[in-house]
Amino acid sequence: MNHHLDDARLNDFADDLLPGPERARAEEHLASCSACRDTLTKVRQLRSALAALPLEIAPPPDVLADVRARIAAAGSGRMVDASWYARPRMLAAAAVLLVAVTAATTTLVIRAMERPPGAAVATYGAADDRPAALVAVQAMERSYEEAIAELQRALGDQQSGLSPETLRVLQENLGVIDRAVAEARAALHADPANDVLAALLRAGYERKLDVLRSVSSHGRARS
Amino acid sequence: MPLPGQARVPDAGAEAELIRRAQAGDRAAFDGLYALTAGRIFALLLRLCADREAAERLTQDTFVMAWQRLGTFRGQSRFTSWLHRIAVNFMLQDSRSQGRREARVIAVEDGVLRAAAGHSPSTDLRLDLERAIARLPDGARTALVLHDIEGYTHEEIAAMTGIAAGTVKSQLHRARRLLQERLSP
Repeated sequence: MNHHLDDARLNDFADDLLPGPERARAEEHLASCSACRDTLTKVRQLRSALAALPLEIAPPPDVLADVRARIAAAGSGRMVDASWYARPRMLAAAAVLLVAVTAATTTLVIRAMERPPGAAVATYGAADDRPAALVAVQAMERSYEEAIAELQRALGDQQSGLSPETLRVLQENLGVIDRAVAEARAALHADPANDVLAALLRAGYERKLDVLRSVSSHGRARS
Repeated sequence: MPLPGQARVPDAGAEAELIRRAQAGDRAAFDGLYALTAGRIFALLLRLCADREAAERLTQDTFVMAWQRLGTFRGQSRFTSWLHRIAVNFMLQDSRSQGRREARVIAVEDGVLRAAAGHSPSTDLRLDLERAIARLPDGARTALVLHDIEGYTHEEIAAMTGIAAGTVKSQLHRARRLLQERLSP
């Protein structure tokens, strides 16, 4: 083959898409044509550079909050019916499930964050602004901890309205939620600009608030 | 589907368990799926749209739709591929309905690009590459992002976008040619 390889053929060669006989002819031409070899090298270099770009860029944290709000507003039939909170046995069972998922999610995500060298997950925004990111994390923690403390105080006044068995299961499982939160918190403090970890910590706090609110409303309903 | 070397592969068993729980209505499990996959979806949409606001909005749309349709996911493809198809559909609808092309100019801001590029010695090269991708014509950019970055075949891209595989291939070659021209010194 004496003619230069056209653009389509060179790209197909680089992508391993040429059938056997055609590939053999192209290889024969490339062996004797430095211009086509140079063009092929450039295509391959470009492909390598593109394949090395990060496949993940963390979205801003408020995207998850907006997704949750839209799902809640849509009132999808797939949602768990909030009325199950009012039933003590279901409440205890749900606490177990919440804990299991929170812990599993934390472990899963933190494990997933341990990626091989070079497998970058870019963080949106102030990736190199650790002090500011840490301050924001701490502010979020304070806000949640105040809300949790307030609910726990209210719950303390209502505990007589709950059965000992429900209280025992809830205390045990809130403890597990706390451990999952602590795990996410430690990971986030080590990497405060990581929006995925921030979302995970926020999710943990939200779950704890959900459980405390449900217990509080159940206690009020019985008293 | 071959994925580029940088793909983060979640534990398949744990992912399947989160999917199963989310299909049963568990929002915490869905949060877990979001945490695992949102970075992939946002990166894809940021590059396809070349528009940060659109990418954020369409990422939201994708996950809201994913929640609503999660019951239809049967595990016959990877979960991220299933999400990608939803995201690409939204991108195509958005592109057609809003005619964003003129207004978009180049809105992939440097902050996002810097984050995407990381902090390696080749950061400048990656920034140049991301900027050049953002400036490609829509069809060429879609073919390039889905094939050369995300690892889909021409046929898979054709199925996702409703464009003939031959056209996808020619758009891809055009995109590579334009990138080479724009990146050459």
